Amino acid sequence: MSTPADQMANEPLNYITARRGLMSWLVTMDHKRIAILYLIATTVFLFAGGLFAMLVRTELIAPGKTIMGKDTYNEVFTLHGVIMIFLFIIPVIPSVIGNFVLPIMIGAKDLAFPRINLFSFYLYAVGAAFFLATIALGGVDTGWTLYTPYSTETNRFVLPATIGIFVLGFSSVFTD
Amino acid sequence: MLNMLTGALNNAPSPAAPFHTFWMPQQASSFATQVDWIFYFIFYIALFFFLLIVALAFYMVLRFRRRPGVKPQDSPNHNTALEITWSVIPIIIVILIFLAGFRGFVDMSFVPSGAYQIGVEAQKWNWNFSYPNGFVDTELHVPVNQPVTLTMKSLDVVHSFFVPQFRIKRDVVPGRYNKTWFEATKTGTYDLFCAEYCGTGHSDMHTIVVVEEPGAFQEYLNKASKYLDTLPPEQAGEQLYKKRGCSQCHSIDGKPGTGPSLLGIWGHEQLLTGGGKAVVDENYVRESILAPSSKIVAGFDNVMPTFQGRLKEKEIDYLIAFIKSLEKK
Repeated sequence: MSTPADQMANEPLNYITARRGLMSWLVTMDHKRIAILYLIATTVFLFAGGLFAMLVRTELIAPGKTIMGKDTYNEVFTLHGVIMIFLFIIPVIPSVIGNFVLPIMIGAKDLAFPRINLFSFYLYAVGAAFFLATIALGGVDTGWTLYTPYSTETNRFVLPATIGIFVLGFSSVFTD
Repeated sequence: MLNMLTGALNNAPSPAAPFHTFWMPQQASSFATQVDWIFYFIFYIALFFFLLIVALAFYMVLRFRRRPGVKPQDSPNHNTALEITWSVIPIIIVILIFLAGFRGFVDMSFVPSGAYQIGVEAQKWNWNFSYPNGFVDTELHVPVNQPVTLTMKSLDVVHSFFVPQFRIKRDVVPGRYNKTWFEATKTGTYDLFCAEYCGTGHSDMHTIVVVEEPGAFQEYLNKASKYLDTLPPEQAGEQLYKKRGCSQCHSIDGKPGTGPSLLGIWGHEQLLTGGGKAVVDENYVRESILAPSSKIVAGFDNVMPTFQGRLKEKEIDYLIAFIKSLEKK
C-alpha cells in the first residue's frame, strides 16, 4: 500500500512538487504557478459576483421591496457587474488558461517576462483591493458601464472604483 | 384530404386582437409586425442550426466512438465543396438578416411628414409630454392610426423612452434632441418605461400611453388643457407643483430638500447667501422661478434651473397662490 504522498515522492518533480511553502507560491515566476494563483483569485470573485447575482434575483422575487431598498439594490447589481466583468470575465481566460497552456503550446520555457507576469498578478490584487475599498466606503451605484453623466453626478464612490478598473487595465496590459 | 386541412385552417378561430405571445407583448403599433417578424426570423434560423449542430455532434460522437478492434481512419484534411458550402450559406443568411434589420431601421428613422408633434422631456424621475397647444402632462395621450413624432430631450442624465407594445426604444440624452416616431394601431392603455438606468428612482420612472380615437383625443386635450383654469388658483398651483418638477426639491412639510421647503415662507424674511434678506412676496417668488440664481437662500446651493419659457404667466400666478396658501399650522 502506498499513500498518495509516496506516489508523489516517486514521481519526477513537477511544478507543484518542485518547491514547497507559501512563499514559494507568492514569489513564484513559474507561469503554471501564476496561472494557479489567478485561478484561485478569479474563482473567489466568480463566487462573490454570483453571490451578488443571487441577492439581485432574491430582491426581484416579488414586486416592491423584498429584502433591500432601491439604493442598496442599485449598488448590488453594480457590484455584481463590476466584479464579474473586471475581476472575472476579462482576466480569467488569458491569465489562467493562457498562462498555463500557451507557453507549452508554442514550445516556450515560460513567458518572455516572468517577473512582469508575477507583477501583473499583484496589480490584479491591488485593483481588487480598490473595489473592496469602494464597498467599504459605501458602494457605487452606476452600473458596471459607469455611464456619464450619471456617474459624474452621483454622490457615491465612483473614483475608487474607476481607479480599480484603471489598475486592472494595467494588469491586463502587462501579461495577464 | 387537402381540402379538409385547409378547411380546418379557415375555420380556426382567428384571434380578434393578437394579444401577447410567449416571446413578445401585444402588438399595438405599425412597427410591431415588422420587429416581431425579424425576431422570429432570427430565432428560428438559430433554433434550426442549434438543433442540427447538436444532433450531428451527438451522432458523430456515437457513430465514430473508439471501439476495440476498429482502427481510426485517416481524416480528410481538405474538402473544397464542403468549405464553400459552409461559408456561402451563412453569408447569405447574414446578408438576409442585415437587409431585414436595415429596412426596419430605415422605416423607424424617417419620420413621415404631417405627423403629430409631441415634445418629450425626461428628468430624474418623471416624464413630461408637451402638446402643440402648449399643454404639458405626465401621461402621454395620442390619437390612434396617426403617426406621432416625439422630439425628446433630457434635463439631467441619459434616459430611454420605451413602450414594449409599440416596439420602440430610444435613448433620451441631455444636450441634444433625439427623435423617434410611431403609429399606434390599437386604442388602449400601455406602459411606458425608462429603459436606461438613471439612479435611485429609475424603477419608478414609468407612466402610461393612452391611445384614443382621434375625436376622443381632441376632446381630452381640450379638456385637460383648460383643466387648471377650472380650479381655484391655489389648487391649480398645487397641480403644477406636483407635475412640473417643483416637488422634487421643495417640500411642503417644512423639511429642507435640495431646495428650501415652501411651508410657511410666505410673507417671512429669508436669509440669503452672501448676506442680505428678502421678504417672500409675489415678486420674490416670480424672480425665484424665472431667475433662480439671483437670490439664493442661505444654506442651499445654486442648482435650480430657470423656468423661463417653461411656465406660462398664468401658471406662475397659480404657483404664487399655492405658496401663499401654505401656512404653518
